[in-house]
Amino acid sequence: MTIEIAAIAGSILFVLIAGLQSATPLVLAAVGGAFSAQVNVFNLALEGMMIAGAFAGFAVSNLTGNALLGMLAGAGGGMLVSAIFAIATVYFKTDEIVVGIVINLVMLALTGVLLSTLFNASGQFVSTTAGTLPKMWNTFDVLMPLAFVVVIWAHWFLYRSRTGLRMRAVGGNPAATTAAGVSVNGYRYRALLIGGVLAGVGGAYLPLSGLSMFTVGMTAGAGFIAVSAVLFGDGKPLLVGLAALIFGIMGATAIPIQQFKLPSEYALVLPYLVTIIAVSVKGIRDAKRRGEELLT
Amino acid sequence: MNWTLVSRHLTRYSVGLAIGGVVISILLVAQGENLGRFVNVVLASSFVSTDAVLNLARWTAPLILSSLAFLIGARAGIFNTGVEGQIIVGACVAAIVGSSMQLPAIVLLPITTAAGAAAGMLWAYPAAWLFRRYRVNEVVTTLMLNYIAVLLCNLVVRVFFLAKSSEGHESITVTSRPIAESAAYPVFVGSSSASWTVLATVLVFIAGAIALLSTRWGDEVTAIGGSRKFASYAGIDARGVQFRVFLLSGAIGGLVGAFEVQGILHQFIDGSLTNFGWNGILGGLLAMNHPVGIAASSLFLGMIQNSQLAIQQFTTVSPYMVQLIAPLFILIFAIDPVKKAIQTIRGRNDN
Amino acid sequence: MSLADESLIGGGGFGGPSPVSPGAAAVILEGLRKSYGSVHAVRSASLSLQAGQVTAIVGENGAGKSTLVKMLAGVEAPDGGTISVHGKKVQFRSARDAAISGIGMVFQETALVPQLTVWENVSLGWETSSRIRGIDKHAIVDRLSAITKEYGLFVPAERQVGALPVSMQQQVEILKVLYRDAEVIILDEPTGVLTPQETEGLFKAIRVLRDAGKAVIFISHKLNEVLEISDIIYVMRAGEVVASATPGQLAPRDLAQLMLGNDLPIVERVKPEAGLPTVLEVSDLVCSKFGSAEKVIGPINLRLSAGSVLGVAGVAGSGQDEFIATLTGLRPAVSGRIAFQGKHSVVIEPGPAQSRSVRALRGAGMAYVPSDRGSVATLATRPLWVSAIAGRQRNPRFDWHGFVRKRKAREFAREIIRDGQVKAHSVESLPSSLSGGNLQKFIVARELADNPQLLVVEEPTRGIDVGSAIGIRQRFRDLASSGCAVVVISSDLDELMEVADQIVVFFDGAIVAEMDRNDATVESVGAAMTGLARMGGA
Repeated sequence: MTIEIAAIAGSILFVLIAGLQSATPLVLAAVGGAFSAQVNVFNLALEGMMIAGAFAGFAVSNLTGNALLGMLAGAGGGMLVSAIFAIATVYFKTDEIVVGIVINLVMLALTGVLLSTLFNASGQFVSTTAGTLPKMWNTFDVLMPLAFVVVIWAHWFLYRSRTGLRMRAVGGNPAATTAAGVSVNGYRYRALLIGGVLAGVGGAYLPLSGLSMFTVGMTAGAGFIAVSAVLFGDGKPLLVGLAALIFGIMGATAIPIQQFKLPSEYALVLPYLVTIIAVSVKGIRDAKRRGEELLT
Repeated sequence: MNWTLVSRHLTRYSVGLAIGGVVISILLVAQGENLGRFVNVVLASSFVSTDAVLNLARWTAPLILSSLAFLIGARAGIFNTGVEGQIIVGACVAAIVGSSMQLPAIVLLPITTAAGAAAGMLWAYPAAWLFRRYRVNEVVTTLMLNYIAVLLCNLVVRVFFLAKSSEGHESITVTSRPIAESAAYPVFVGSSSASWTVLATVLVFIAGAIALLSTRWGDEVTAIGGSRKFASYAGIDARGVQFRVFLLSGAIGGLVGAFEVQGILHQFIDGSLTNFGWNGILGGLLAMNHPVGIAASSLFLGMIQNSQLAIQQFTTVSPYMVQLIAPLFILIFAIDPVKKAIQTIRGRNDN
Repeated sequence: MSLADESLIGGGGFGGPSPVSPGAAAVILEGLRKSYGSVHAVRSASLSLQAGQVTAIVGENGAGKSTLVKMLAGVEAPDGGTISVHGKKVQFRSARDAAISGIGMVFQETALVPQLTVWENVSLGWETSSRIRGIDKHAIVDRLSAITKEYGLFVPAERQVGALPVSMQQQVEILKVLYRDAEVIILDEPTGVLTPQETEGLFKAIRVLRDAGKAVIFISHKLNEVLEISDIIYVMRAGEVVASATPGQLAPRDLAQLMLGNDLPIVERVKPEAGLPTVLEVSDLVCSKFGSAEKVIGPINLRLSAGSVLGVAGVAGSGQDEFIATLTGLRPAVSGRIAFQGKHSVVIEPGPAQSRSVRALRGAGMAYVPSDRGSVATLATRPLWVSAIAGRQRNPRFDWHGFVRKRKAREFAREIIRDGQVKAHSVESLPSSLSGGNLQKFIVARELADNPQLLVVEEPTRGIDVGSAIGIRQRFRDLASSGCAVVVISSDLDELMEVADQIVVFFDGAIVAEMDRNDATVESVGAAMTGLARMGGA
């Protein structure tokens, strides 16, 4: 009996730690996505930004042996992709969904090409020279509490700073914002770039947080889970961060719950199922408020 | 023929092709290859022999159908990002139905195909209903359903329909039991992978193109996508037609999955259908949502897809180039620098 | 006309701008001009604004009032003329410049961000903040409450603007203007969204602002309100300031007359014979107002005989748009019924399934020319021949077992182009390639092609050159002579006087006046549009 309790406790602990580890990149990327949501841009390119961050972080860390420099590079990579996204959607006014989907596909394939060009590897490369991230108490990466701090900071920034107020105004009513003399496009760019930096750091965490190895497609849809978290939390950083955390922890239960004869899919499907429900509920409430004034 | 419009489109395609060509050349040179040789390999792998052409057909067919699925929705003003999920569900159901019954081909074949299409339609239903009734954003709902589809089908196959080897060992990968002989579309020729599903695809595509371009229904759908208010003014039941088109889009997606299983794979294999949906959407966007354009864009994308093996064998280029080319072109094309340039010039003159 | 030697309005005729000692004026506008392409919105407007006064600007739709104040508020740049603030000439490149000079405007459509709180909206763009500690919310809220106390505009600072009633949202907009230390406050048609009680609240606030020394500009088409609240009234017509007066000197009739002018020829029309069959009967029709769950339009009662022309007048937003949408089957009614006796009888009752209603009405011989030519009456993305068969696509002439008979459709398109004398390059061109006048001729010809029993037409000649307009009006008259009933909605009162036998006037969601053509004058119709009929001053 005690062995079983110990086993369960062990599993729970394992899930929590593994969960925090897989949640960290999600939380960072999701908070980045929250900025886009606040300026009313549907950012599907989080996955592409994470991929860019992962590759840039890995490459620089491999080159310099310093994982923190790698993190910085990851931020840069994410920002570069978000710059492309921003120019395409804000300046060229291209449809943001199309741009998002396409950027993700391009980045995925591009890292494969770059991997073979720069590292002569096909699909995967293990680095012997990359640094590792500093750890606290030998278990938690420094980045985990950082992610938590980022969530709090994002909330403060959006609701207490001048830039944050203006971003929310841009997302709420661009016409009124222009009338108040605030540049709508300027703040859209700012929000998207911040998002890119965060998603890039989140992506860089993946290769640098353990095995110092880069695999093409290692983000494995994390960017889309981040998108789900943004939708579920309606772009509000605290809620979005919480959702990403829960999604990450739930995702980590995928393997352990097989012990209890439950299929891992039950755990993995949660973010998407929960997001559809949340979005539908919101949509139904909005429709009822509009008086269902749907003129044919 | 509206010549100004046509010339505008041609400029856009040429500029896109040019810029894309430059970017790809740079990447190729970095990998020790040049554009000319690369293009040769790509073209050869699709045109050098009858087998090559048939292989091209094998890859082009699902893209045509997938693009059609997206296109039909887009014509009615629906952005169906869920084609990927509808394909997977269609494939899964077709694999299950095709492997669960022993019936003569003349019965089992169409039933399996129909089951796949119905599954795709059913998968689109929740998103379609939410959109019709409450205007819930269809991009979000269909997108989420994609991931749920992957997980659900994996679960169902793994738990109930997992393939077993002759010794009774269960398959390691998520693969379903093979479908019955009578549920499979025969292959054209032994040496290539193209099967009669290609012909079926072409028929469906032609039917779809005719429906969109020549029927009153097609005109109504296009009108709804152009302006819902105009459609209502003209006495069209805009909401109803849009809803049914959404379902039809899902059904065609399911059909893609069914054809893949019945014609090529003969099983549901996890991961084998990845990106058919996304590439279909890319093809639709590249063709600017015109049915005839889809044939061209699918051929272009199919050609690139078909050259993957040849690129690996005959060039020093990474096989990931294949996956890079299509979305790269779409990105350049979608941004439409020509339009912006024209707007900036006009803007200066108008003021 | 210089400002120095004006006289007040006397008995008949009209006078010029009133005498004001230029020294006391806060703002002087002189000779302002603004054109949009070929449309001269403001030709030459001059007026002066005094601190501590409520200045009203009145005029019909298109007289130029909104454009004039937009130039003052920096939203539009004038093509010519000068603006002087406290004696200094100024040029505004943006609304921000105007705000710095002390001029602020409260727009007709709320320019607030619904998700933000009151204090956030008020301080947007003007925030007190520091890099490190962010927005100094206390400073902002303190300043805000000082202002609300001073002017008696009590609004909860922490509530989300979107949750506030419209009248309070308007007060937030006023606070926004005051927060930027405005000396001149412009209110553009502020009472359209307010109930009578809320209007009283607004007027109280305006009086406080005036007594505090602000210059308040009040734009409205509602003459009763203008007479109640203003200290001085300027009248605009056709882009110019044509008169000014103080409320005490004017009866409402005089004001209406000034607004509308009185030099229009009145055309004799043959009154249709009595005893003709009723084509349209509307009984107690109630429809919901656009964008509002509570307010409704109606109940409306109308009867229309064959061969007669009904003119519908009313300021935008008075309910005629909702009425027409319900009449043509595009929107369901809340209650009441519409009985149309065309080629056969069709009755529309409350309930969904609009497309069936639309088809039924069309099938029985109702034709409809909407005001939105580009996105409702025609399809912008497809060639003309597609728009040509709009509404007729199920007709066996154009539909063969579900297939579109494109040759017949193109043929039909050519026919209506010929009949309507439309100048179009080809039936393959897009509707956008046609000029406004030609597109309208095309649409009208299309709608009249099947000899309808009832034609409903909105704004038939808006933005159309004189020649085409005359031709279009002639078609209506011919149509009526041949027995078709016509309903014409138009903001051009001259046009209504020309073509209609009877005129109904919408105001604030109901029909307030019904006049026979021979008894109506442009002044009386215009006056009814301003609510005067309700006041009993018509």
